Amino acid sequence: MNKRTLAIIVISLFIISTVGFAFFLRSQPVDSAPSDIVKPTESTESGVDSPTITRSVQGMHDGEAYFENILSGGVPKDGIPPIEDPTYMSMEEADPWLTDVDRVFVLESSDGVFVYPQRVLVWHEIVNETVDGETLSITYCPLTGSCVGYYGPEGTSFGTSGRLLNSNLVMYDRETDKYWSQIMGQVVEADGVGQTLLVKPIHWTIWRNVKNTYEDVKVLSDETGFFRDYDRDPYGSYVDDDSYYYNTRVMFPTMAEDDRLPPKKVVVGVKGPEGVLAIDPTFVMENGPVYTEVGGQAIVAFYDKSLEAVRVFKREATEQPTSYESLETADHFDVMWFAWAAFYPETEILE
Amino acid sequence: MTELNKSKGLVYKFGILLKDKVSVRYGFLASVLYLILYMWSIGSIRGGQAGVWQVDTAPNMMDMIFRSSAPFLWEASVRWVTPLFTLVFAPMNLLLGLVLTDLVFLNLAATINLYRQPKSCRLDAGTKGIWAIVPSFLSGFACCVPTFLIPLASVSASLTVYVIWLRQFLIPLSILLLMWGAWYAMKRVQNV
Repeated sequence: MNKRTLAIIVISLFIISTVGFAFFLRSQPVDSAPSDIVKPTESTESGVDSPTITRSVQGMHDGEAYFENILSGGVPKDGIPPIEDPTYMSMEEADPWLTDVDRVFVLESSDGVFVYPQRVLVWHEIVNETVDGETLSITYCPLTGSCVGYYGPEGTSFGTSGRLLNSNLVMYDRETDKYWSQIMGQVVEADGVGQTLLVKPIHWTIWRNVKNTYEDVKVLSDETGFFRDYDRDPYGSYVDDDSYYYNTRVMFPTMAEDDRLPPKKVVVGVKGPEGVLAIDPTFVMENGPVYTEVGGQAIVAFYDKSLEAVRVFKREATEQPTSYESLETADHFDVMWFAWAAFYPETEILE
Repeated sequence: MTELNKSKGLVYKFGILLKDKVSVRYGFLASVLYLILYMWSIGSIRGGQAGVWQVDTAPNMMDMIFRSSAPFLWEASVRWVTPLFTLVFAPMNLLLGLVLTDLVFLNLAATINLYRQPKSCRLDAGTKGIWAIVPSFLSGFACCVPTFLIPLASVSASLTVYVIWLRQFLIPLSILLLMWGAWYAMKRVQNV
């Protein structure tokens, strides 16, 4: 290749990139700074008949900003295919397949204990299931390390929209085609955020802990109907300190940055009726049970030594229960700090 | 003579190229290697499983054929597991791979032919088209977000978003560049 040709190619690529970047910037929303004004969210009609609540959370961004900051993740709707008809295997069948330190998500129900291996969910992000007679979606976002169970919407199911908000999964419901943020659990529309889905807590742990804790479980099989490489995690590995899950890199722009904690530090995000709280699991492990309140709701956080996970429950403000058997769970899930802080920039931290 | 050859059509040039057994042989081998690399880059060829010989088909096989998982990537319908490798067969991915491979073959074989010509007769060497395979590889590394972007995130999150946007154009860009490279090299093919 002579110098003239090389020069033409380099100049052409430069022009294409510059024009493309300019076009791209024009088509993208401008990041919004967190609003100082606390704007309670209003319940908007999502058009979905689902078990939802209305939550007015203190410390959120301006409602419209969430919609404006939704970005393309580069894949089409359901390009990350949700699992619609999950099949399960027994503990004995799963044991040769999973290693002791494999990350798994545990869902306890009257129908039994369900275990969702991270190595499967990283390729699908959503499992649409019926548990205890109710529609339940097990949702996982690898980029923000958040796994949450959501009830409903009734008569429809969630898909992956191929879009991201604060690096976090944006789902869509197949009835109305509206966007739902995984971390917020709320519908996100141009005029603000609205209905909030009810949460079913799901706990992170490792396969060894599952074997030591439960006698029998149902483990999500890799017979998903899709030929993904379930022996490979595209983001790296939870046993590799230098992988995406531990380094300080964030893949996509976020609405806010907060250096009170390292970006990938895992916190337990807890939602109350009018506020949110981030709990450092180590604090609960060393001091539990921890009695506090979030958004007007008294809560207690226990450290489950068997699963090595934090469980959070509602309590009466005047009581300090020492066991959780009779308590109602509070909305909580593990999540990387950068993502929690991006959604809830004024969140308090319990550490 | 050279000018006469140059003025002939591409079909005629293709006939001349096919007579050059050395160029065709090396071009073919290199393009097969390209196809394997391309299929590996999009996850259609993976590691095998010890002691396993198995063929699986997707339950909704026909639906999968045109189901897109990312720009220019489609879901697989059949999986063949062997101890050495696993082949995940998606007809549309294979079709696209073969189109790219054909163009790579033309580029390589014609380029080899150019270099086999006597120096005094050789026209301007046409290796430009070979560079066009690069974007096709970048397009291939896809999962939830393209995996090759994960290291880029350390540079800038905005850059990641930009490259994701750009990614949808990589395969068309690759095809256009390969076609241009093939045309450029083919019109210079001569008997050797």
